[in-house]
Amino acid sequence: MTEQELFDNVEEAVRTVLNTAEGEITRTSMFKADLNTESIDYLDISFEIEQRTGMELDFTEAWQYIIEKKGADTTDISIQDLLDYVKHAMEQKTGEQQ
Amino acid sequence: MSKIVWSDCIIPGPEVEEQPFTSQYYEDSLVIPSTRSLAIEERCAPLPDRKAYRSMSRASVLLSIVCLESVPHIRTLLDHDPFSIGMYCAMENGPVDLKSASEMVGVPREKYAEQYRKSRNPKMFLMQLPNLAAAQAGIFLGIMGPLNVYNSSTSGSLHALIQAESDLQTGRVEAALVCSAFGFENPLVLERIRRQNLNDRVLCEGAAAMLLMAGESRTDWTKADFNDTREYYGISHQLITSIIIRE
Repeated sequence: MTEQELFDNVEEAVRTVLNTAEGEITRTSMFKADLNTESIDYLDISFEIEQRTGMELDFTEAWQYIIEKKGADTTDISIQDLLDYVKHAMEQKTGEQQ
Repeated sequence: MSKIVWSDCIIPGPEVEEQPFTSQYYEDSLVIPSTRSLAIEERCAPLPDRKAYRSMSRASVLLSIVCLESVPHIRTLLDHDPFSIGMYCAMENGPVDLKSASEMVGVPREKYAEQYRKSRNPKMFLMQLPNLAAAQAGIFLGIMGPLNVYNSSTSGSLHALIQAESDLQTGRVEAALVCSAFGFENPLVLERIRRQNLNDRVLCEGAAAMLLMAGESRTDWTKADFNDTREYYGISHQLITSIIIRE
């Protein structure tokens, strides 16, 4: 899956859950600040991403990964942060299978 | 002792043609010969929270749409005392997730839990709770009074009207928002209606709300003839018919 295909899948998943307009979600969109995401929405988003990519997504693990990169005082994440984690998790999964 | 302050209903207009209802999950074994549905797409519904549709059944969305029409009429009451308005809502249980259920057919026992987690939308169970639909409409409106939900398929909205009338009479509430919605979601509910209630009538989606306040005369809602109609609106039938008769 290319970087663009991954973005398209994640964007569509987030758009489905949050019911945003097409084009409203960008890589820099912040989940809380820009998209008003609530805790139960993350579960829903991970379900939709899994439906589209086959990638099981654990937001707790994603959060751990992102705060390791961005710092412990992180309170919000962007679409790009999530994409980075999904890419990382996919690479890890591929490595385990090999 | 009640008077109708306001009422509204959403029903398919005359431009909507009668069509048979079939379900991809039941194929030819379940056909409702004559139905009319509302041209409302859940995710495009004008609700105050655009993502709320993910946890709302179609009937729940219809309920909120019609209840939101009451805002200009209940604003003064809410400003005065949001606890003084009760909600009396007739709703059936929301739909079973037939898509995920069909994906589970034939899955071996050892893989069942994993497949269930993969197939099942985590918000799906919220759609199945009728009291959540009523609560969500109440949240949109800011009503904090007693919330009553009735889910008798054949008489739900009549029960709601009768209880509202009783609570107004005893002074438990100052105003009562009686509401109900019926959508084509659960094929088995439609089949049950076809067998038990429909006869030759057209089964229609619909939603209605009625704001009642204490009045001088008591209304006996059971006296109306709800059977002499060309259309049938499921659990919402008595409420919608009451409004149509008065209009």
